[in-house]
Amino acid sequence: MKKTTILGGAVAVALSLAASGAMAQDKCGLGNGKKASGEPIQIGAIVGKTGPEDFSSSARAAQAYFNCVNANGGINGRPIQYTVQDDTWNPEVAAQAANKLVKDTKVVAMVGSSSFVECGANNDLYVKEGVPSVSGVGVPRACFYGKNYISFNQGPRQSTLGAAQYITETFKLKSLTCVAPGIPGFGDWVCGGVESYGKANNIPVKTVIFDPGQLDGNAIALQVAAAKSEGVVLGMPRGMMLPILTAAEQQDLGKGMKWGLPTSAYHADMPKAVGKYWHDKLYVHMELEPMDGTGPDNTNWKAIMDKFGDKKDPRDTFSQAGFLAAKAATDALLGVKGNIDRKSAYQAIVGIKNWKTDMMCAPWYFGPGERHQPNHKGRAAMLQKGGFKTLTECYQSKDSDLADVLKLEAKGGLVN
Amino acid sequence: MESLLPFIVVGISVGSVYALSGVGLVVLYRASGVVNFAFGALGGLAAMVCWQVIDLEYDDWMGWVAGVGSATLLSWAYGRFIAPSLTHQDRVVRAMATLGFALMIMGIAQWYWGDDPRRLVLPTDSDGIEFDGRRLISHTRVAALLFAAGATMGMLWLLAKTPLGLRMRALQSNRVLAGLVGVRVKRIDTWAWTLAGLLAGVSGLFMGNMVRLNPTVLTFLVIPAMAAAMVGRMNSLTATVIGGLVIGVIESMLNLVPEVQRYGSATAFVVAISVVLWQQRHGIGLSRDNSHLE
Repeated sequence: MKKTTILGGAVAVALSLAASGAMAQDKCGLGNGKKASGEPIQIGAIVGKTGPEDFSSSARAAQAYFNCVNANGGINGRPIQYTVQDDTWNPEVAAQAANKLVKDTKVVAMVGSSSFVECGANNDLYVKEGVPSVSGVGVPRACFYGKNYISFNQGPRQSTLGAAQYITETFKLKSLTCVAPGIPGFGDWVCGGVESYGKANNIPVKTVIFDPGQLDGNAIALQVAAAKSEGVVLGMPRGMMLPILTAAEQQDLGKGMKWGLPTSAYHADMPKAVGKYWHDKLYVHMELEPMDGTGPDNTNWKAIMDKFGDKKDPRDTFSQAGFLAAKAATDALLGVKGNIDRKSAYQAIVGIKNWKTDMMCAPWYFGPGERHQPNHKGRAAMLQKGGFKTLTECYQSKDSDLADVLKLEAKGGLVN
Repeated sequence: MESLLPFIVVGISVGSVYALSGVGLVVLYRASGVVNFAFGALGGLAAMVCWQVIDLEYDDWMGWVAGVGSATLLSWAYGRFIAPSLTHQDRVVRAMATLGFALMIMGIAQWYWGDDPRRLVLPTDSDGIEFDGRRLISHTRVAALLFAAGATMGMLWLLAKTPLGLRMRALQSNRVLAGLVGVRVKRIDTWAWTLAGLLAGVSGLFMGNMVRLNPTVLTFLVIPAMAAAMVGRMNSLTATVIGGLVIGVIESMLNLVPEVQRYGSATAFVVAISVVLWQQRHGIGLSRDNSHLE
């Protein structure tokens, strides 16, 4: 009996190991292990790589996914030729890059873009030329207000509000300060979400918009201190947060205030970068599944990044979003019957609805709207030594700007 | 006034690093006639190397030495091997060469270290000066101010009282004649580049701690430093220090005016342009132009 039990246990362990091994394997596209050949399908992306912060993580993950697809039968045998352009955070460069990709390279779609400037510069071009853009990460307002532009992330407005919602409702805060950089279409828009939430809940919100070129975080920390709010949210890329958090630490502002950060802070290196003073004091909003999540798509993301990406590629939320963008586009293109050109690619991608993944709180869709924001639920986590601790299940963003999106979803057919 | 004081103090602390960087630019310009656009990039490299060494769990002091040493060494190498071959080029060409040098350093640093979040912690961060019951500035910022003052006085002493300073002033006056009377031009130039690299390294460590540990961001530290040097007409160390402090304080004070707060980084440009226009109106030029005598 004992022998049988031991044998049974060994078999169970072996099976579970095999299962976990299978889960960790990369899965993409047709998954047939055959290298794609034939005429490439052109897909493009525009990222803000060179500039105040590197925003190429999303396209790097998309590149890894497409590498996997090409090694596994491509799009019904045809490989994907993926061209990524750096807009250097310059709208003129972004416009030139889009023109080159759309008119010269003749891409059928844009996938995995992530930029502070390209949405505003190129939305009209994408509509005029019938090019869908499934970006990984939308950043400024224009990325969520384009007919042909859609993202997998919630965006900085929703994410900053998500952090504000969590600290306000958990700790019963009575006042907030929102800090954001004065980038056109970004800072005022991001803090506008927190302001509208505060107005609806009788919570005074002080907004501090600073010059992104400003070198010193101490002056910003002084303003945060002067506001004397009970909670602070920093709506900005993580690189800009660090000097503010450093200055706030030097002024010991972590003691009396609750601090919330958007998903840009959800990066494996952040706990070490901010230092032990901030451990267990920073609450971070997550737009996608926790990085250590064990869902099949999240596991697949990590496996594909390990096998087809560069080891230097970041493993962060933006990388997850780029992976999802590439996967959704691939799934749509695989469903095209007949030749894949811009028109058929557009119809396939725009037609995506009820696309489910464990990495998101709700199904994703493109939808018929004039603007798109399918991701509006996230989670909260606490930054602690060595990583993050997930604190909540998915919760809905309480942004008044989402009324049109929720109304569209309520009509049915997109997420159920 | 009480509410202004913290912003003035914070502005002075950052301004002192602008001043320190400006002093480095002026010392090099006075000796060699080169406007060094690579100053910020060298500082950025110093900060990144320092962080890397400390991250590898070596002692902090080893990181500081490695960081400042790498900037000094690279600046020395440029002054010893590249700058001499450009001596007879136009001053604009020599300045543009340093810009190329800056972009090269920035590009390599950005490629190697990327954009991951990181922070350069100094032991002086953990304590500071209190005001109105809370900590206002860290001891790191006090150290930056003291170092800037010390470095400026040291450079003034070096230029006025030492044989090296005498030779530097001789080069500033007339490089050809200085060479004819036995001043070893290349050697003095190399010393100037070495001193500039040393100051860039120290400025980089302070800015990497106080501002942001990112090679690209630190490369652009050269802009306020250049503006401070312009206030000093690329000649006067005292005026350069005052220029750096004024830029730092104005930048900080603008945070109190929400309407213009988001344009604070334009301060350096506005101050530099205003001073140059004022100097032109009053017939004051840059440091003596000796390039035609080379």
